[in-house]
Amino acid sequence: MIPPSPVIRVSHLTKRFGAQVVVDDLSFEVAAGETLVLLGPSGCGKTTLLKTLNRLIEPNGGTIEINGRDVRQQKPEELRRGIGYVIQQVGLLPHLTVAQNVGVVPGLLGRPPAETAARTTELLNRLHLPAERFGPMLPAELSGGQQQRVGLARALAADPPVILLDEPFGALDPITRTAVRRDFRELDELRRKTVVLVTHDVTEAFELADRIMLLDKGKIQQLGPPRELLLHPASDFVRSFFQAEQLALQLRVVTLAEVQPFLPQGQPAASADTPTLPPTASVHEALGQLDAGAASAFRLADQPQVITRGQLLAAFGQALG
Amino acid sequence: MSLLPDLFTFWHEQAGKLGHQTLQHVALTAAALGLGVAVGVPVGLWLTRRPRWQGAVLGAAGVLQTVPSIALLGFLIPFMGIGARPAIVALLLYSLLPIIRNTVAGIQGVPPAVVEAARGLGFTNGQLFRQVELPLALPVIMAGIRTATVINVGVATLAAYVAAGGLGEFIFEGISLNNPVMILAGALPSAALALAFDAGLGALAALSARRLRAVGLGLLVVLPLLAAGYWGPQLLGARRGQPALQAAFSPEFVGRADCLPGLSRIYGLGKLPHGVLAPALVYEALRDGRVDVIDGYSTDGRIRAYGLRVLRDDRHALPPYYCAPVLRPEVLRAHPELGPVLDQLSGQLSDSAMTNLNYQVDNLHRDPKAVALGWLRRRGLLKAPRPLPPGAPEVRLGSKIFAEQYILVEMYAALIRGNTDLGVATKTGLGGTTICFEALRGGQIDMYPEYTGTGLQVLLQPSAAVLDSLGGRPEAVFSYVQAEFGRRYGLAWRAPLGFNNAYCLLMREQQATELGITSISNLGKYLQK
Repeated sequence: MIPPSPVIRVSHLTKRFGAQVVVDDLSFEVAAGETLVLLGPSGCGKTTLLKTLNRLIEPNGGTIEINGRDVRQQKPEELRRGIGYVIQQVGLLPHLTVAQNVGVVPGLLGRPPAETAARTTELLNRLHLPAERFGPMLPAELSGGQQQRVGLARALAADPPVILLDEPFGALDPITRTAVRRDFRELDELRRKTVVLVTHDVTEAFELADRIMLLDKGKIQQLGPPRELLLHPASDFVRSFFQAEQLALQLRVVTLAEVQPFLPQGQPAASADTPTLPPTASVHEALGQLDAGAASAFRLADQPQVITRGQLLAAFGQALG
Repeated sequence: MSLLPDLFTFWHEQAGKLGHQTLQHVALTAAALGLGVAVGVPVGLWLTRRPRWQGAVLGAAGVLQTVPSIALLGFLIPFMGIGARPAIVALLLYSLLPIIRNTVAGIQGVPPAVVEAARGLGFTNGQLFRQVELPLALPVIMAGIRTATVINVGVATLAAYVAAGGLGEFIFEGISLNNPVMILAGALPSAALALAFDAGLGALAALSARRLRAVGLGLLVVLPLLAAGYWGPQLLGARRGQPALQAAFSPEFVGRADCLPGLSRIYGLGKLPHGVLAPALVYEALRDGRVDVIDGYSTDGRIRAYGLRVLRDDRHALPPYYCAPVLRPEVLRAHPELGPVLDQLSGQLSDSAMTNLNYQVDNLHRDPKAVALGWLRRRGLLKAPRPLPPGAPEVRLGSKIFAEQYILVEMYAALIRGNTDLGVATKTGLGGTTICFEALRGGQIDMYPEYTGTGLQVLLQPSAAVLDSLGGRPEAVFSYVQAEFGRRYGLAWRAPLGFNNAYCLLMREQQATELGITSISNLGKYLQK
């Protein structure tokens, strides 16, 4: 299979603020449709790196190509109109209505107003902000979570192939954050997009990322799928970074297929109403299913016997053992 | 209290003047405000892009704000002359600080997250400015403009001092005539204007940030239209042909029944177009050719210094102003030797002698005391001061705030020191007539030089019938004033010094010669042509 061609190609990117090197000779690629999460402690350079992609910050060295074109060959504003951008503080234009805010970029691109209006209505509805009610409101009338949904809708309105998000859920309270993150994850639009997301929240990174780039002091510490960073850390820094939430993260990356060899054999057969999970589901998802549902056991697809919570946890321990 | 009915009567009688002054006031304010917005907002915006300059520019605007308005006007006159120009420039300078400061604050008050998001979405710098920063900063900028407006309406009253007109004319006439009704007649409409402007701009601001264009148009169209109220009539006037002569008069001269109104009636000066100007500025305005006729005092040193001609009052329309010491009789009773000493000056100073002394002080900048002693010495009146016996009583001499009075007080002081065993304290520069008079009545001073005409018109204010019966005859006026001061206030007038420091009309010597004008009658005839 031919790997999809990279949408973003960064090579030897360097950014200094005075004597301090914030982004240190970074090279990486992001494939079409991939979600790359930039993760790391405060001051690691992740936000600076993100902002060089849409030229809000100009690097001191290196090149960035997006869709095969060097970003420096384009006018910054034209480049930015083709890239969705969401920030932690949202930054909705306070004097415009919600609908006008969502329609800002299509407006800048000179798209027909009717088309923009239809797109705005569609996006707002899909983000659980019925356009009829919320469209005419001013940003100040919305809650923080609602504002960030509008921020997402605004970034998607012109259907850009690339979306940059800078701690998009960072300012929300935990309950709202979970809800907005779920809507974000379930948005079909985003599956087709190339997404670069900055966060310092490890759980968030594991939940959303196809690949994680762990940064420290402007350098890539490790770049790869979440389970690789967790199970095969490249350095002590990577290991210690995930130490505190080791177990919770392992539950997320270990799949049912991996624990299956350690499950006891010869269990009673499942009844018709026993929930079924695919082997690709994570242990975390299976536990969630058991906690939420009425059922006390589940079964794997294509397998006859039931698995209980205790059996699952025991097998999980052995699999890691 | 009859203040309110009097006020309405005054407005009714002066409706034409009130309307004209209000129009001028609005026009001056609007012109300055329009310029203030045109200059201040761009400067403020520039400062948000060049923060390094903020301290210097805001500091400079702040310093301008602290310069007293009278001083600022006085400073501008050498460069800009008199009239609307210096007034508008002064108002403009006062409006800059609030407008610039609020523009900077407004733009800087736009949340950084909004600016970053807008940039990230692909706004160009121009779009960011027009569609985001300016609309969001507008309420703050408008608040600055409103502050500037209220300041401007207030300061615009001072425009009357530089012949730019406005409601200050009533106010300054009222102050110089000690007439509260007249002061209110100008002050109340001025206050009302400030409120009206503020409300108008408030309504404009309430159109809100979404109607940026409306607000901009409102400011940039309405203000010049209002300002046109000033020059419109002038332009029309210009089309009808320039007036032959232009006059500028001090507020008191315009307001007093026996000055300009009397002259206009008797000599037919109705066609003489005139502005109102601070007394301190009329002489320079005449010298520099900005005006052709002014009012002045017949003994002023500048008449000689600037080559001016006093137009003869050939029909005796202007009231006599013979100078004489006014004092508290108790002082004379306690020190009878004082009377003859004071009388040593009686009839000794002619108009030209006094003009010459004033010239030495006002224009050669010599010390009033040296000038006074020099004159006494030449007249053989100067004696060395006697040594003061311990515990000697003191005579306190007061003066108004101009050179002639300083000189006279120094003369009296020298005479008292040389001829009596009394001590002397001088309290010079007591402001105007009212202050000196009240200080004398209240016993804070014992004596000051006063003028018969002032005593008659400003202090006694007799009925028109009495004025008619006096008929402007110097002796009759002096006798009346002397008798009435004794009867009403218990104050005594000594014999006059000889000179008549009366109001007079002045022209440049050269122009008066060219036009063949030596008397006010000549002027009246010239204007009739």
